[in-house]
Amino acid sequence: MKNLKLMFAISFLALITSCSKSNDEMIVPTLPVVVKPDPAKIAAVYVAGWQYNTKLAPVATLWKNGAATELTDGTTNLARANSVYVSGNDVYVAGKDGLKSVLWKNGVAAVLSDKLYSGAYSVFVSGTDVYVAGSDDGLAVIWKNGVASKLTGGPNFSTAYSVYVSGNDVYAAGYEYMGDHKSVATLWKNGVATRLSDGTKQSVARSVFVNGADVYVVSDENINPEDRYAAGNESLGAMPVPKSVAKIWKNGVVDNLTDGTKQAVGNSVFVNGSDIYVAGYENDGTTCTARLWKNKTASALVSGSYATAGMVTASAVFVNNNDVYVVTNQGGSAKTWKNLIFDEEINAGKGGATALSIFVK
Amino acid sequence: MRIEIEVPVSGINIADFNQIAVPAFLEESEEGVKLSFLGIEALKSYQTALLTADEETGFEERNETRAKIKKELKKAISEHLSIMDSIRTYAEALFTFVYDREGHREDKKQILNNLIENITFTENGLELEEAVKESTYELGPLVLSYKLTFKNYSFNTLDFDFQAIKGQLVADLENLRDAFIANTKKSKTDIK
Repeated sequence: MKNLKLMFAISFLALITSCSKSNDEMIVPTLPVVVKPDPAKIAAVYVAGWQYNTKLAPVATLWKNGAATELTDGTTNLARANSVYVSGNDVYVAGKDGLKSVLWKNGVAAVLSDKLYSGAYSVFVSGTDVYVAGSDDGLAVIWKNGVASKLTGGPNFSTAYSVYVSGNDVYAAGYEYMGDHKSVATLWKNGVATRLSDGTKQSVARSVFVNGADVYVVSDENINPEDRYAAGNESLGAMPVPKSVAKIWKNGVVDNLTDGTKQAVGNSVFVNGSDIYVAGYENDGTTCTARLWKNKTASALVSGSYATAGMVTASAVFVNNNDVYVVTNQGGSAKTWKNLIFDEEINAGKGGATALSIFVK
Repeated sequence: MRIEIEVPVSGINIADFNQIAVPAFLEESEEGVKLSFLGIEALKSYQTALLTADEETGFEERNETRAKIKKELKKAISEHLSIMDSIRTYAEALFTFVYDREGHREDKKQILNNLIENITFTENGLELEEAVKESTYELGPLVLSYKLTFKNYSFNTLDFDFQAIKGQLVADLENLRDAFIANTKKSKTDIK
């Protein structure tokens, strides 16, 4: 044992000596300079959606950097956090708890409507005003600070899925139902409707974004006039899936993102400088692929067998400091992506989740 | 109508699938193998693949694994059909409730059309139930004369595909309405 200790001491001395350029010049290992990260520069990623609780009841949930805050108590059979918006230190979420349409501010719920056929699908904050798009009593509506303004007079069903406020102008995207299984994609500006389809096929506008003076809308239109359901609203596993074209509109001029050979839906649009991003999916009935289109060029985020996993979709896109964030869903697996690279699975290993909206600040 | 249809097949193992069509999802179980399908269409598609293989190989080449699986697939389809039956029964009960009231036939037709449209825009069982009540309130309290299993399926969003159940209910109501209208027209023609 003594011999071993002696050998170790000699070896250690030899190692130190060999590392020296000369007797009086010792090399001291240099460590990289540690720069403490500035907390203000770390982006906070907010995701709204829902998950099942331990009793397998749906719970509307907000995740901030993966940490969950449950917004509902799991006592209803439908709970969704559909949209999230962060303004200053306040976090707003629009969603649904049973029959109630709800706006949560920092986790505190305010009921916008408890009528049948109501829904809160999108929230936007402009200055001190909070806007929510949805439907109330079956009609498309914008709630401004909790006060509802109907976008249509009825009697046909209509819904606003997205709201964007630019200056004094309030834009909403959605649809009006025309009867006989036909809906018209519609853009409202300050309550005045512009139809984005002719009413001969199912068509829905799902998202609106304003960049300077330019107004962008993403919509989809079924190919077959006989389709009973708008793209994506058909029964799970229904075959064949209704085919549709995903479209991007800029100031009323349309451009197709897809060729109509598959079911294609654009769920969300975000414009950053001259780049137009659309999150959505394509489904050929066999394979379903979550896609991000950048200036009409498609990238695949995640794919899956439609028969096994059902719908695979990119629900929302958000750009922060030129970083592009997307949320996708595949079965019960919700994931965040940053610049097309997988970032994080939400609620991984604990039953999964469904992510519907993302906001990064 | 089930979101995920699980079909346990005993007495076979994963290796048996080397010789036959492979379903979308399968795993070993204690008894044998468990097949899973997302929706009835996927199950039927797999059943078709097995039947096609049977036809191609002929009776002499009967494959025991395929036979065992087909037997279990039939059970799953049978459950699906019983769910379809319960939807049809509920549709008939609603239809009868609307048309058995006193009132003008065109008014009742309008109520039924509203009912169908209102159901179309519901998102879950609770909303559907409310939509039915709201659409028929003019006819008095909604009383359906016998116990219905429909609610067991429409409220169970964990196991059952609400969109599919709602779609089938709407289709059944439309069929009942159209058949009634066709019969009424026929009767008038017969009188002439």
